[in-house]
Amino acid sequence: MNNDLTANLVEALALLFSGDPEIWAIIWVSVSVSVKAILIALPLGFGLAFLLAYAEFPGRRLLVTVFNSLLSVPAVVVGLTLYLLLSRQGPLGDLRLLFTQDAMVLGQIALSLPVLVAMGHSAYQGGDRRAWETALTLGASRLRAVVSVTREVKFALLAALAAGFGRIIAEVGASMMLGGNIQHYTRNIPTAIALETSKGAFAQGIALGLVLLVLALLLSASLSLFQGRGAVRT
Amino acid sequence: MEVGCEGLRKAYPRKRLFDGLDFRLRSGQLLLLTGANGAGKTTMMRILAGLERADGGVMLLNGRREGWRSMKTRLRRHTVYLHQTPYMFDGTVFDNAAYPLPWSQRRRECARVLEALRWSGLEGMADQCARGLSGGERQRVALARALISRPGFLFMDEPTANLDVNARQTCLDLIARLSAEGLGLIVSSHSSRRLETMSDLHLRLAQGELSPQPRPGEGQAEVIPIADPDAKADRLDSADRDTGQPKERRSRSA
Repeated sequence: MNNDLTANLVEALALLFSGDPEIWAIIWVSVSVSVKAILIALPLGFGLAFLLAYAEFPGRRLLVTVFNSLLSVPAVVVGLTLYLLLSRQGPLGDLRLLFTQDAMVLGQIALSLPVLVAMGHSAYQGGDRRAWETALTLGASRLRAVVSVTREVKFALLAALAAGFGRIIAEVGASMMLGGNIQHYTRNIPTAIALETSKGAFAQGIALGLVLLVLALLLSASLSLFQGRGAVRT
Repeated sequence: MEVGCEGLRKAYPRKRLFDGLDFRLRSGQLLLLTGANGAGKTTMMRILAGLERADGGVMLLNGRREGWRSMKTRLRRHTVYLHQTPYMFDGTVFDNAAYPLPWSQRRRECARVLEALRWSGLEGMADQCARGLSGGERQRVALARALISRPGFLFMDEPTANLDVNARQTCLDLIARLSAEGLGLIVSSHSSRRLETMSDLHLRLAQGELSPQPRPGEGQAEVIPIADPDAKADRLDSADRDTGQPKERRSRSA
């Protein structure tokens, strides 16, 4: 058993370092889809988070509760909902997005948005409200005041960003349902791991798992680095 | 220039603060606002600064008479409200003092920012982290920052609270200088003999009403006419730091 594991690990490392085009194509799909999704979700999520923390409008508390509840919705349910919307018989079927990378991006936006909104809302609400008032009273425009407040809570927002990205880079359900796991097109790291493991090709699964671990480590390390710098300054 | 309100109404869920408050402040006037905790001093200043919504009434600014909602942006443009503990943005003392300037102007206006820091006694501290400053130093940065934004009116919420004696004196000196430079000032405070002496008017806020208070050593309320700048400059000069009592007025020509 130990020998099997070691052999698979060695094979996995060999696959990675030999530049196996299959493996790197999967990694590229994963990273490009998730980066696109997070880049679209980021302004939307933090914008909503700011409004929920600072604006007063009817239904604000209800919206906060909704986004907090959406945190615990399984990825596969999000995938199923979007599948029904994007399938031929669905209301958005004419867009012909199902089984494309764009559909995966949509799914990942839907998954990361509640994380960004809920954690972003906590970040803004936990920040010092005097920052907003000081900016306004010193003549800053609303946009500049928003930027100022955002800078003041940047570490908490970075943590939200890391959590949001972590949620989508490793999810299987929505990507499988919306992308269809098509080789060289919509096959990303989690769907490939699921497929290869079911086929008994553990080496490829381990290689892709290692990439996911490295990505998570890099994300966490960069967050710690930023937070460390902040601690020195304040 | 003039700022104020007519028939101002403001209530919180379980408390009615103002129900028809009238108030006016002119440029160059220094108003000492006193009152018990919860009387509404802070709320009144925040409404006048465009930071807190009024429930009703008319806001006055330089001849304009509008509701709070339509006036708030203009109020923010012409007034600065200083929190009891001023907020320091993440960055240096210079960054904080230069905050009111647009990014594009910061380099060009560098000398002005340094001059404001010198004015508040913070020369040589421009590169220090603003959040590492003491309470008194924060107040001075906030005053320099307010000066950079060139407001017509400055509202200060208990600026001398939580300061030691030296920091309090420095802060009061700066307030006196701002007043002498023609800024309209409201300073809320629980008690300060020196502020009472420096101020043109001392109003006490209680049960939603403003009532004039007698000046130190006088039996009844008096408003020093701001049309007489010499009299005001004399009084600001003569406010004795130790006792807070006014000295005998010197003649400016003497």
